[in-house]
Amino acid sequence: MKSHFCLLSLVALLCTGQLQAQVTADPATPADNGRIDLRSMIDSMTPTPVPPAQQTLGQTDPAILPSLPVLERSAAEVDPDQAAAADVAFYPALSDLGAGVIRLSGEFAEANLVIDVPVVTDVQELRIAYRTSINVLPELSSVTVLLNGREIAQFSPRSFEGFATVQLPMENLIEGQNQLMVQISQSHRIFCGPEASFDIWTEIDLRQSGISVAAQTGIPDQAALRRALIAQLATGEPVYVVAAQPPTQDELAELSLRLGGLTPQLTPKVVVQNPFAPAPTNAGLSRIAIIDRAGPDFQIRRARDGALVLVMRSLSDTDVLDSFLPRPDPITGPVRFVPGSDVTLAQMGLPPVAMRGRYGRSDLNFLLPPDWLLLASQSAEIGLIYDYAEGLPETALMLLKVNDTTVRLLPLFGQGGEEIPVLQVSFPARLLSPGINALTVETIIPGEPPDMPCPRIEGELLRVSDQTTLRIPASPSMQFPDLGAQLLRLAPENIAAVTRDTRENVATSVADALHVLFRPLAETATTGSLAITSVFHADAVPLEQLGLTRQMVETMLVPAAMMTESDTVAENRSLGARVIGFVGNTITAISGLARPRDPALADWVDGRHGDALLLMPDLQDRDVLWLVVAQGADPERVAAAVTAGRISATGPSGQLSILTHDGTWQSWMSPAQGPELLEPLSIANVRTVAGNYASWSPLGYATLMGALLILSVIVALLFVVRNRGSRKR
Amino acid sequence: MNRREILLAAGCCLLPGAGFGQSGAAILTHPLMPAWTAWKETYLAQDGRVVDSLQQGASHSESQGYGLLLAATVGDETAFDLIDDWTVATLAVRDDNLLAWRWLPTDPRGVSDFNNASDGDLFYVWALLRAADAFDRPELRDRASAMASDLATSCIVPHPDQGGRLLFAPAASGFNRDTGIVMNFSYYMSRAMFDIATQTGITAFATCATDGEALLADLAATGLTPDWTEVRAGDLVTATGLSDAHGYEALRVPLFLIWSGRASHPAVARQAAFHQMAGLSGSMTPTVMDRLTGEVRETSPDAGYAAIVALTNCARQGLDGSSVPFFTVDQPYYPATLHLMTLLAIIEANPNCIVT
Repeated sequence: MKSHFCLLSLVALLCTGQLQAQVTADPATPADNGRIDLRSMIDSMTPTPVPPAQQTLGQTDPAILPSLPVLERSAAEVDPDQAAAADVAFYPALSDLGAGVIRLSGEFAEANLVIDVPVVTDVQELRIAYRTSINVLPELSSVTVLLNGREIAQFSPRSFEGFATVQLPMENLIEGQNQLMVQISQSHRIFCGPEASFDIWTEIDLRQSGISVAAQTGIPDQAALRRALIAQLATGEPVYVVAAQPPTQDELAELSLRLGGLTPQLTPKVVVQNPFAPAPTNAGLSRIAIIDRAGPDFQIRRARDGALVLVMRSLSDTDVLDSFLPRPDPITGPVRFVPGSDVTLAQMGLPPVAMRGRYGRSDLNFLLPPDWLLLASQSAEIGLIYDYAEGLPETALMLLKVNDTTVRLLPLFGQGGEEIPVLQVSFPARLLSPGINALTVETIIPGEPPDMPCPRIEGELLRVSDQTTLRIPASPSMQFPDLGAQLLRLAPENIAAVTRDTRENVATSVADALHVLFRPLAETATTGSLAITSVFHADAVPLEQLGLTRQMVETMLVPAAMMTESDTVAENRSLGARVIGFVGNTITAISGLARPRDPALADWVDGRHGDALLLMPDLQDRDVLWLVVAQGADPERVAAAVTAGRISATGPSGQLSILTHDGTWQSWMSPAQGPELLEPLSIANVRTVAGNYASWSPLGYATLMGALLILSVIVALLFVVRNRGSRKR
Repeated sequence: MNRREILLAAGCCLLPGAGFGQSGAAILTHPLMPAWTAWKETYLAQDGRVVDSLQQGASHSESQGYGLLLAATVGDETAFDLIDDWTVATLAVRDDNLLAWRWLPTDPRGVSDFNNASDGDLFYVWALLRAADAFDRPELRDRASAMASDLATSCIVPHPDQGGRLLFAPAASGFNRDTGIVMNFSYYMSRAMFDIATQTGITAFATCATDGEALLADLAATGLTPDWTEVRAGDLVTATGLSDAHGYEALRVPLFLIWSGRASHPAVARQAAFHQMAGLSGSMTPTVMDRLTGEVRETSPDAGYAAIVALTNCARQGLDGSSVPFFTVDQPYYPATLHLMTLLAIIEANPNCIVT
């Protein structure tokens, strides 16, 4: 009954008007905003006698009045533009030049961006974001944008500080993949020449270049999911796997591998998201949800935030994954070259080389058989077909390089605009190696004068025809132990981290990254394994077979931050130490003539430092490679270097390679390990085989020849002495 | 996957090395803990009051009750005591064991009137009961019983038709008219009422919950649940002078029904159908609708309201996985708290509607 008394009490207060002043403060009508206006309610009530006892409510302060517990729930007015912006999704552009910010250097450069459009009519904006070097002279520079082959915009680059966004016409957009070509023509504002070329650049931020579309656009089908997953990766954000029970590491690695197959430019990251945790930073384009009780095999749904969500029972359901995210195809790798005959660049599948800038470099990579080996004086030959523009300065040059060694330096003066006869350029075949090789064309065209902006030259400055030939002599089947060749045969599933405690997470991270990046080479049988460990666990590696010690490994993998101190110590050596060093170097140089091989490992490792060591510890088991990673090394950088190095002429080779802090590989081959003949010795190959051995160890060869000579002399003397004796008799 | 399994599975997610990188002791953690932590950092002041910025920075028995229930549920005893201490010191100023409904920072007196709000008290009692078990503190059960007793005495009233049905009045004072009783059906939380009835022995709460669900079904026969309704002897009519719309009050109704295991209730179906009819997509969610026509009068970008709509849709359709958005504190106290409660409803009652 107490409640009845209370109710009556309030009614009495309302009727006496005491409450009215309080509740009429907000006159808004309930129909508008859900708030309650009590005036009419009060008006509708009839006075009721109030028992005195009921006025004890709020008796601690008679001035305090009871009111109705009514709360204001309406939020402030929402800015329509802000609301509209929340319903827009941004799909970044892709480029085969990389992800994130790409740089276009030199006088002329271009980037082909790919933009995948779900529904043309829902595209709200097409844009690119760029910035340019302060050295660029806008008046003599331009950015031209072509959409699907048609020019849609041209402007002078003037954004020198931050990235500027340029909105582009969208008339030529089509549904599906669009090619957005960005062509840069830029001139240095002060200088002209190769050095100035390096100073002029324009950068495009791919994450801010692309299309804005209505977030809820398109039908949520497989194509849309694939597009959204790529866009999610292109934003630089991970793909979230929403799951109450986290998938296994193997399942996540498999998912990463498959996501990596969506587009080779992007390195996917996968992050598990607790469905009940706060929203991740950016999961707005696409994600995967695991619901173990899900009915059908899979569903594709559009979430409230516009994200396309693949709902599936389990990541171990490979059938579902195969339909959405098939495993990536093997990479084709560099062109395979068959030695023994003239082969044109076109036959190798290589394009012609065209240079438009004051400095240009083009690498033509090709693959020699793993058992190709020529160390002697055999020559290979390039049948060079080229021409260049008229009016180049006298000092203009073209450098022809084989594996970064210049084999010919050609002036680009005197025959400008003329048809030049085929130029035969021979070079030592020993510059080539089994596996990946690079033929490089480099141009250096100084300014005339060098301290003025370059005169505008339309067209190509140099062109090397794809009818240029390359002839490399055949070799007997021989080889050195080579971890680079083994890397090419490695399959990603045979890469594993060997860890012991949490400090070695770097090894796991490298392994995870390699699982994503590493792909088998097409037409190559996979074999072998790669074990990854951190420097803390280096004793897991059978180092002794190489002659390494754990201390040597730890010294080589010293963190980059400690390198400066070491270098300073080295530079501050005493005069005596410098003299001893000079003498030692001289002796090494002279002995190198007799034994042109790498020094002993203990000498080789001295002074070398890096982020990772790649090893082939056991020559009897060459399929097994180890990667030891420095603590503090960037796992993605190491993984990327290993992946890129296996298809690069400057990648790891020999028995041990160190990834230096500047990202290059330096390799060591045991001086004791001679070339191995993999086919029977015959009259046909004996000369070449002997040449290889002689070149590998001239001193040994000379010693052998000397021994044979002495033996011959002894035999001859014995023969003479014996014959002379019989004549006397 | 049942409730226990989802709690275990989601809790395991939070263990070190299990994928989410949560550090700490190797004990099972409630899956809502990360979201609760974010909520706590945003809306819970250091002195223990839950701040509702849209109410001039006020704290009220509803916010304190909601906060206390969440703290007890996720097992955050420190936060529980903080909220409880402030509430007891500030709002427990009535002659009975109920709470004054509001404290205003701008009012020098703090509490400007001593009326209560029955939903705030209801959640407070429920929180005390959960905490008594979770923290093994039997004295909290005694407090809950005393408070439940006063709540029943003050706010559980007979239906005007005198047929024996019970109503849960919005407050101890102010909602009794000559013609009937003004009701807010979003104050009903069946799960809480049944739990309180079971644990305190005050069966009126269970009766009240059952009767309330029947009245909600009657309302659903004609449209959406209104914010306010007058219950008369023979009818449910518009409460003169009060909002008849389905607004910020009534939008809680389907949430509490689903949380109570009543996903098949007609009020849930009605709300799901009207939202589908509204046809809005994107970032805005209808928050005020005409209860008869479904006309949208107000929308909000706050994710908490979208969460309720998504849960309602999922529970109604029996979907596997819902479009309930991820939790965010980028919204005011009220939708953020409803958002957390939606997630709790998924965990405790509808695991099939897990966030995707």
